[in-house]
Amino acid sequence: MSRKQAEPRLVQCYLCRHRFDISRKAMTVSCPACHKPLLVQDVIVKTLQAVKKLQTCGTLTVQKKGRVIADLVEAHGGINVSGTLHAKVVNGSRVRILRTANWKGDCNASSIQIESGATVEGGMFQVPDRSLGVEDLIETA
Amino acid sequence: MADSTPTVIGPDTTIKGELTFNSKARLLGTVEGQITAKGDFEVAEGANCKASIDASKVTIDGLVEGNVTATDRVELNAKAQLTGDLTASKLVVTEGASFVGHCRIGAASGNGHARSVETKPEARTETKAEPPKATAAAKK
Repeated sequence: MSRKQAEPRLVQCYLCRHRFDISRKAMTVSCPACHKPLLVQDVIVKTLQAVKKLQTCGTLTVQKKGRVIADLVEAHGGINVSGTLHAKVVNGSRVRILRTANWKGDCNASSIQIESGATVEGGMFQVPDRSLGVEDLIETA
Repeated sequence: MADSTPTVIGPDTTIKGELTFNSKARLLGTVEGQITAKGDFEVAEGANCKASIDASKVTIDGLVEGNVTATDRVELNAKAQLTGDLTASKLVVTEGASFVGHCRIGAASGNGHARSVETKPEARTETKAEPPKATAAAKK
């Protein structure tokens, strides 16, 4: 009996913006365009995470008691914020700022959804961001 | 009575200058200049607003180029296109809306009117309730 193969998952490299398919079970891969190792796992932040860069090809979820303090946050699978996020955010897909969220920083995203009750303490918003579009992706042979 | 009948600026109307509304207003046409509304202000789909807007509640479905300040809330619906800075107590953005500009929402918005509006009651009671308890205990 042949085992049914899971459908591949489309991800975007956060370093060169190249899009490619990977296995659904993959946790880390190398980008075929820039050959750099990439994190493709979904990241869930439950407590304080103070880092320089937080980058993933998957989704980033900041839970209610989670705090992300970073220079740059990049999650091309999408970002859901229920807690605190102080960072410059670059995202190829959707950003959701939920009602309990506290946001401080710039936001470049394809689309954004802000629920009533969220606190946004300044920052430059660019939605949709043309620089993250398909036309600027690096084409590889 | 004034609240029940909003002022409507029709789709074939173009106005340049300063507009002041004492109650609800709905924009379907084109406005260039400055808009001040004591009540709600709505920019309907297809409307073109190249003006700064100052109102208690602003709902945007059309195109707005200018700064938006609301004492209560701003709603950007799916077809909204806003280019300009936004200051409000509450913001609701529906997926699909376009927004380019600086944004200050909530108690920290720095808006003089916004400070009087309770946006996050739980958070405020926590910070206000703690210091009096400590001082009362110290006096006893």
